[in-house]
Amino acid sequence: MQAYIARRLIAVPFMLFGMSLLLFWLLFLRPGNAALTGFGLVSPDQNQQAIASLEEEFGLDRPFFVQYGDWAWNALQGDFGISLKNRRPVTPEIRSRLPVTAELGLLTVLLTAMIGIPVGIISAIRPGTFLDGFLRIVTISGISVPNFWVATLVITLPALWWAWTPLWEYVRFEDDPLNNLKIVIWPAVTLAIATAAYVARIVRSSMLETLYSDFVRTARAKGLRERAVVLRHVFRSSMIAVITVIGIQLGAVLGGSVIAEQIFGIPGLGLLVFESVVSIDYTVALAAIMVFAFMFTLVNLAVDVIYTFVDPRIRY
Amino acid sequence: MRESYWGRYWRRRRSRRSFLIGGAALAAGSAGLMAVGCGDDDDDDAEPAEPDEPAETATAAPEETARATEAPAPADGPMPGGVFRQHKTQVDDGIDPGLKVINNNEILARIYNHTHLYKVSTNEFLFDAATAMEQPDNTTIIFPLRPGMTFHHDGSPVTAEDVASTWSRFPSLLADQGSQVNEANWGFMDTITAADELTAQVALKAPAASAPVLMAATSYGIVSRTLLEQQANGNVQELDAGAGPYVIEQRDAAGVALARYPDYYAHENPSTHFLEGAPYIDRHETRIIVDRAAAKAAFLAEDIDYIPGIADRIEFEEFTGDDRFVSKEVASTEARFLAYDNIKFVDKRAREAVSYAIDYDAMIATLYAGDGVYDGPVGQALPGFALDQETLKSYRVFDPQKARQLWEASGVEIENIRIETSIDPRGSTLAEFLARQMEENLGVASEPLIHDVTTYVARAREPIKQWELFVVPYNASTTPEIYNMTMMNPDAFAGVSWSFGVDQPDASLVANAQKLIDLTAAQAQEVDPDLRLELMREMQLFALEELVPGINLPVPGHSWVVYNARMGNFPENDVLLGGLLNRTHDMWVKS
Amino acid sequence: MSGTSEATAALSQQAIRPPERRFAGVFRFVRQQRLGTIGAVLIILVVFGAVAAPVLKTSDPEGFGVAPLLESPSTSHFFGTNREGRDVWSRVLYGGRVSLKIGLATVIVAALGGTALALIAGYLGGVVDFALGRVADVLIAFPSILFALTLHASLRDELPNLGEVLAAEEFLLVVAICIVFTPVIFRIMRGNVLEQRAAIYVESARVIGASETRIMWRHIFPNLVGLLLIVMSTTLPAAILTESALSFLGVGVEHGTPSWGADLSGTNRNYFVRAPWIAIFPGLALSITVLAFNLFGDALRDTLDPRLRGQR
Repeated sequence: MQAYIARRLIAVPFMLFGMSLLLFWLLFLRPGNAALTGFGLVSPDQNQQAIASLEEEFGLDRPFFVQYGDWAWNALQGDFGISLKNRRPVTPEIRSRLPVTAELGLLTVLLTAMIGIPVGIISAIRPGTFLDGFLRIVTISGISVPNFWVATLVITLPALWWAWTPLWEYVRFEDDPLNNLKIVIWPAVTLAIATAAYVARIVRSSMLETLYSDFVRTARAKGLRERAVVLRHVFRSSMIAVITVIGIQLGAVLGGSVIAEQIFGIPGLGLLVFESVVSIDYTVALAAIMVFAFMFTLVNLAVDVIYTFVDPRIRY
Repeated sequence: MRESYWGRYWRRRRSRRSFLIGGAALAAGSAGLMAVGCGDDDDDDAEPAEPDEPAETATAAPEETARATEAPAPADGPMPGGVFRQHKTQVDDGIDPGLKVINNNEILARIYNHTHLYKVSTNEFLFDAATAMEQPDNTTIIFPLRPGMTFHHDGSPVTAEDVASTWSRFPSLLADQGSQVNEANWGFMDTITAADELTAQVALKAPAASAPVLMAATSYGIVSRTLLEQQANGNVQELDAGAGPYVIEQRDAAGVALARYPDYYAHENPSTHFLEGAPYIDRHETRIIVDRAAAKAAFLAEDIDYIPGIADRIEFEEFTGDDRFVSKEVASTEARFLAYDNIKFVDKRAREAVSYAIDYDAMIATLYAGDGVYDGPVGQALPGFALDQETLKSYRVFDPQKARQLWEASGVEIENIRIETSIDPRGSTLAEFLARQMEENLGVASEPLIHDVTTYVARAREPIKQWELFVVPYNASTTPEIYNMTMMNPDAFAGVSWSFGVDQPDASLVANAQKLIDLTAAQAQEVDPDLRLELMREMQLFALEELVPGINLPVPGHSWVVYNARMGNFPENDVLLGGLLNRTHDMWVKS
Repeated sequence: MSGTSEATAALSQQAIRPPERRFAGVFRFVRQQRLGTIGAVLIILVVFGAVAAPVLKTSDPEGFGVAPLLESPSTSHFFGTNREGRDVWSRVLYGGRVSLKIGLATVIVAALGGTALALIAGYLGGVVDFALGRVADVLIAFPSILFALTLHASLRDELPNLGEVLAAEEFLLVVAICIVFTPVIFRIMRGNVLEQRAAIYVESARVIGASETRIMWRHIFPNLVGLLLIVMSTTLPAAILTESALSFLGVGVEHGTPSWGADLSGTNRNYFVRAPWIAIFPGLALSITVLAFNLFGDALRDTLDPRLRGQR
């Protein structure tokens, strides 16, 4: 098992290398960059001079691999350079925005587990009943509704009906935890609808699978109460599927943060990614997307490791 | 790849003429194309008591001062304190007024001190750091400064040396750091010196009628000289180096909060708008709200006090019945320019064909919901200079049959008319509309190309254009009048962006460009108001007749402003004229 | 599309039932899978709406001022009209075309690509398998929206227009979504290929001297068809959701093209408070379509996956 974890850990840097190279190449393809957007325009001569000095400053006139190597070397040391658009150092910007998105992600995953798992269990222990049928329709609807539509309705309709909207000036968690939660809960709920529904479906199907297995029949036969059977035996063995799914859903949440942060005005990494990609501020875009990918890779790794603890059958 | 790309970009060279000819060489990059009009931000301090009172003189007359102080009614008078809340869609890119003037007006206008400000709606100057503006001759401007002003960061006094050093760095900021403040805003200044500790003296290169107005822009905010000297690159990107009435309390990805600067100089000689006890408001808060539906929801829920960018009368009418809000309608300052890539349209018949193919009335009926007017090179908000509707209509005729004939006759080989614009909703919908018009009325395939602002600017400046038509929606400033010709000048935008310069390989194109250059130069240096008007008219008619370098499309008939009724003395007229909400010394929050 | 869903049903029945009892299988499906049947009916309706859009529309979806501006739903404009004076009902019908077109193109390309790569990886094993696996890891680690955003930003202007069938923007959408889904399908299929390779019937085929290519093609692939159909049926709604999310973010279809995602963004957002119908109907159409495919896909899995049979 340790060897397996070691192998996975060794793979992480290679994956990050591959990702960054791919991204760097994609962004490098793109003509134009943010440094040039806000130029005073009078004579082409002066512009040429200013552009040349900017390209030199940012090293944009060098060959691709030199630029990439330079970027990667600095990134390894935690320095993502400066923004082409506003010359602010990128690393502090990422550092200040990362917790915001991480909080949104964690809250969403928490809601996902809190809603998804119980709903799944309830459906699974009463299969074929009206309640199961109802929950099945609810969950399948949950995974079908686009989050940007829900978010739009959540901010628009209350404003229309009651002159109220769940948008407040963002405060950071460390400054005012209660008000912060009041703000972040809405995008989190919006994002959790789909993920919770998805988790509920997986819990249900994997529990149904185990409910009919031999060891559960044995547990019942020895006179264990149904409650104990379900929670101690069935649920525990279904945990693997649940963990995997929650892990995968975290990726969906990270992607969804791009949309949710935009609509709900949450100053997180998702918003930064969108703005920087759109304005070709590619030092920022690169750094932000790499941080996203890094987080996702780590979550995947963690999921795999947790597997081995939850399921004693798995030995790598 | 990159190198050759940009090499292509900037290979072109053109001789530069006098800075003033480049008067229309305004506004930089993105802002320029969207014509936020860098540095030409109009002042916003309004005075509802006498909103239409025109000021005749450049200096604030004493009697006006007296009237203004008594203007607000006692029952509903100014109240100190309170918070003004607004929103914007993006974080600023820096707060050095000499370097960045886009998307940071609410900060620049309040943390920096300005010698004087300019109130668009009444055409008057408001003195702030200076007590007056003296002009001993046509090329000298002297600003006597108020004593007792201090900088936020160390409490040191503001002197004429600070003014001189701040204003002297414009050229190097543009050349070395790609400043957003372009030469048209400061090129008329030759030297700026400190005659004594509290007297700043500006020597102009030549007489410049628009200089005092241009010098009232936010980019002229006074920055501490000692701080500038400490910075190797001569800019104060992140640090609050001002002496204005507010200091930055918070400025991050969530928004901006400005708090009152306790040592802000109490004006001894209050002008019309810098009243005793002003500014009244304690705090200014600006939230970042990206989504338009969210911003509107926040406004309806009274979480923010002001919602900029009311698109049309339909949107405006959502608020008119609601007594929680004040909604005002004034004459429009909007402009919509449709530029040709002139080198592809050297045949006048091809230009005419495009013009005949556009159903201008349908555009007004749909895009402006019926509330629209025809527009010329000078916007409708500048009466006198603007041409009348009859004249404009005679140049903007919709005739698809004629359009097709002229297109055939011109023999242009364009198979797909690509219409470039930015994600600005005003532009993207318009480009879509125009593409349809071209397909239906001209019978030529056409597609709108909508790009982010960065790409849009880059694509405008490329020497070889990847588009045929280019849509620029912008907010035309009313003053100085030369700003209205921004999009037309061959020495500026038109030359670089619309292939309309004297360096082009086509003789007729060069002749047209030369004609506009000559007229612009003559107009800019003319001081007689009547002759200025006459020259401007001649310029406009020439552009209309020759259809160069593009078409001024119809514009909305009005502009709209909506704000929460808890705001007292909201500068609604100036907001609309300038599109920005900057200086609000005399605005207050009702309890 | 209706052809495809029927074909899907028919194919699925063929995989497990003798061919002469085709229709019996359909009836059995209808009887046993009520929700799935509802899904199928909804799919047929959506597909019919998209295909018959030119007939069902009440006005030109891309015209300007062809209907009154921002009118609430009425008998002449079922879903009301939007700011440009376009009938929302017609926009919704045409929006379905874009969603279905891109969804189907994506799923077909991703499923074929993913399966082919899985077979190659399973067949060749070793270095190739390892390399493909790591590439898949890299691609899966990007949240799909971020990847599509980047791709759109860098390639938008490089692509040729493919004419009537697929505009440049739509092609880019298909590429972006495929790059996200292909590795996912690849992973699932690869696991199954390996499982099948170790199965006894493959062993016996090998013993009687069948070549590896023959084993792959004649023995393993047919056994993957059922799984492939299930994967495709779950990928399709996901692809449609991704397309609409990207169009919503402004990196999707060409500006002005009716699309459920795009119609919820841009200028329309100015008018949601005054005219909620322009926010509600495109979103509703999108949700119902995705729901229909999910319901049908669920039922299909129940029918095709023997492990789950008899549990409901």
